Amino acid sequence: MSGLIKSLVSFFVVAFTLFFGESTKAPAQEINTIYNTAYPSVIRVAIRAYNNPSGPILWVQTVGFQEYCSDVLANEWIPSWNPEALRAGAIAVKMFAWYHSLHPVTASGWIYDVDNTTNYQEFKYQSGTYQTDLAVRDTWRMAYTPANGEILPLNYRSGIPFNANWSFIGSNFMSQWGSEYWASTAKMSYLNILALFYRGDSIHMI
Amino acid sequence: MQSPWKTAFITTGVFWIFSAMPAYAENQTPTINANVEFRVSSPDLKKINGARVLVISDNGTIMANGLTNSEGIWDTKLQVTQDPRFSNIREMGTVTAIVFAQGFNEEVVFEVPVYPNSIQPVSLVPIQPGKRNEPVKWLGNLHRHDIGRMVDRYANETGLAKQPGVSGTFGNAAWSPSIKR
Repeated sequence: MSGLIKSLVSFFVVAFTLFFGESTKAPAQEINTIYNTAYPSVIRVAIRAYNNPSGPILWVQTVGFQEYCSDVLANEWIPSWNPEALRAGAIAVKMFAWYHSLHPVTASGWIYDVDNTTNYQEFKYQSGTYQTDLAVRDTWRMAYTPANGEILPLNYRSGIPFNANWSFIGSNFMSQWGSEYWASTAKMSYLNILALFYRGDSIHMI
Repeated sequence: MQSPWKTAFITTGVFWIFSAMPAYAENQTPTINANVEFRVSSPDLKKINGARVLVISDNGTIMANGLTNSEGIWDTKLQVTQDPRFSNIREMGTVTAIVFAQGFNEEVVFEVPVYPNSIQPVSLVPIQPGKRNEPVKWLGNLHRHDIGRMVDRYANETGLAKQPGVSGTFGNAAWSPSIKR
């Protein structure tokens, strides 16, 4: 008798698993890595009036991804800064944008990846300079990620002018003024500057 | 032989000129010679050929005007006086630009920065049927870091105190309206 009950229980367990097992399991969320995700060809930029973070969205501009990075770097880093600081900035700007192109938002009836203000990164179409365009091109084949290659934003803030910005070291926030300080004063390379601010990440060629 | 009156007159004149020179030099604002590249486009990223750019100096006169090329670019050399608001930051002047283009509303760009190799992008708004189609105003391409340093300078001069940091933010705290004790 107990054998029959066990058999029936086993039958129902197997049947339940076969019919409902897959659907009750939460779908595995595949993470976006540099190994399974290509650069976007374009990025959607919400244009806010006067580059003001609180300004109304006037339109959404679809811009080539590399062009977007060039037209951000000139506004986020000062074009006359040390080339190593600009290269560090170019990688941060690109990783930040890449992440957000994979996580679009909807607001005020618009769908976009980033806006043109410091809500994300300051963007002005056609503002790229020779020096900043060069830094973007020099680092275009490089990504800066954790060991598993996950595409994550490299965050940054202004920091204190003409200062080492010690409080940013190892914080996973790069100081823009700090990058210039370490490049100019300590003659550090862009890879060392990135390692200084972003703990645990490293460069990958793509 | 010179008369004593003539000698005294010349001596006084020479003395007056030399004594006035330092004050004259102090009142002279430094001049900046630089080129500015205007890059004119539409919201759909088309570069606008044949747009006319007028440059208005800080005394209100038209100091230059020209047309953009097929790349939407007009490059001009300007001689401007240093903008004292940015004198501790960089040698930079500021001008106003007005841009006209066929099929677009006029655009006035205030505070266009002038320093060696400065760039001023201008995105024009198309004329649309049924809309008001008035001139559009925009701000020049002043760099965020220059703005931040200008704010620091005037806040320091006024003796303002910083606001306490807000949790969840990282970086510099904003200035407060309170004077430091």
